[in-house]
Amino acid sequence: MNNIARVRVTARPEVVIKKLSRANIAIYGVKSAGAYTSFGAEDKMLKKVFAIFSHPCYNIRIVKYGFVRSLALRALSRAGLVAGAALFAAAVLLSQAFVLKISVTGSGAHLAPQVVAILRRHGVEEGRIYGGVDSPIVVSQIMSLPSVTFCSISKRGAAVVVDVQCSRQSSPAPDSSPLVSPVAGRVVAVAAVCGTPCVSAGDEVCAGDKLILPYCAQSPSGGTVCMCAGYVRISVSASVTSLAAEESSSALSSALAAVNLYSDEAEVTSCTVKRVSQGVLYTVNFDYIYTASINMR
Amino acid sequence: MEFLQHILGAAGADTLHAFTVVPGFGVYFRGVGSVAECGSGRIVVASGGAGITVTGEGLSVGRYFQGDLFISGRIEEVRIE
Repeated sequence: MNNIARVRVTARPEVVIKKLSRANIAIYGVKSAGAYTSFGAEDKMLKKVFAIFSHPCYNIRIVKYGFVRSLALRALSRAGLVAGAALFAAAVLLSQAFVLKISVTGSGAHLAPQVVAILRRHGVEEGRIYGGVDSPIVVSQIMSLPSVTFCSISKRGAAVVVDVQCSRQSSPAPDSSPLVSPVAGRVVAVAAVCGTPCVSAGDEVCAGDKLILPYCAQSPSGGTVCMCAGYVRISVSASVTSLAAEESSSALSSALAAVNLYSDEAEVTSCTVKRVSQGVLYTVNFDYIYTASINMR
Repeated sequence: MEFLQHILGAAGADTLHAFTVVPGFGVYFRGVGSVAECGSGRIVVASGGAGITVTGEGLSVGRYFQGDLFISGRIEEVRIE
């Protein structure tokens, strides 16, 4: 019954019933009011009804369309409103796919720049489409930040919420300075949890050279300041000298033992013995791996 | 319905031109040929070669399609002429 239109025609009800029943048109709710007869007919039959009462002596008009058609007509007459509503709904749905805000909550909220930098490195950035996040890796990197004891990542609408909790015990304030190399050597490995590494494996560095800078690369033109966290392994070549009264195997062992002061895994490359006025001078050349780190537990 | 069919069959009639009156609600006809008169107090229908006059208050043709006719309103009298 929802598709029943209401029609009014200047004719007697008997005439209306007779004409429409001849054409096998179902009619509903025939009412007579003065010279007019109003009745209901299915929307799809309206053309036929108008054809039947097409003679000029009949004044016929549609009083009300059926539900579906009137809904369509109302929608058409308010096309702007409908389009706006559809656009709004589409915008809401589309915004869910984007990350419009990254919110760092909890007692570790002060680590927001570092957390945002870690997320950015994994493709989660404000204004970009959210393609999911490899949660275990990102969480482990956030957990490696100083004094972080808990971390969880969730997406609420268009916002990525990172809950970071730090230990209640007072811990030293995170070092916001760059990681500087205290030794000279060749870089073997670089791991920057937070910050921008300025060296790579194979580079030669001198003492005092910066290894990881305290900002996160955002674009070639600039970056955001953040705390450094990470480590750099450097292969260092060094030598120790040991003076002995005379050349002996015990004196050599003593000279080699001095190497262990630098590293347990030092690799002796050469050893020379030189006679001096006070006795003999052992010079042991060796390589060892020095790990320079900052804000790592 | 089978019982009605049996009685009508025994009487030499059929259900095609039978009608049902629901007091206070309306009357339902089958096999209506045409509506000869239609007013809020009186509706005359032609069915099975007879004229059936329905009188009452607030009468209106509720539905009419392929011989099936429902007249709604408060039915006071159905007279076969």
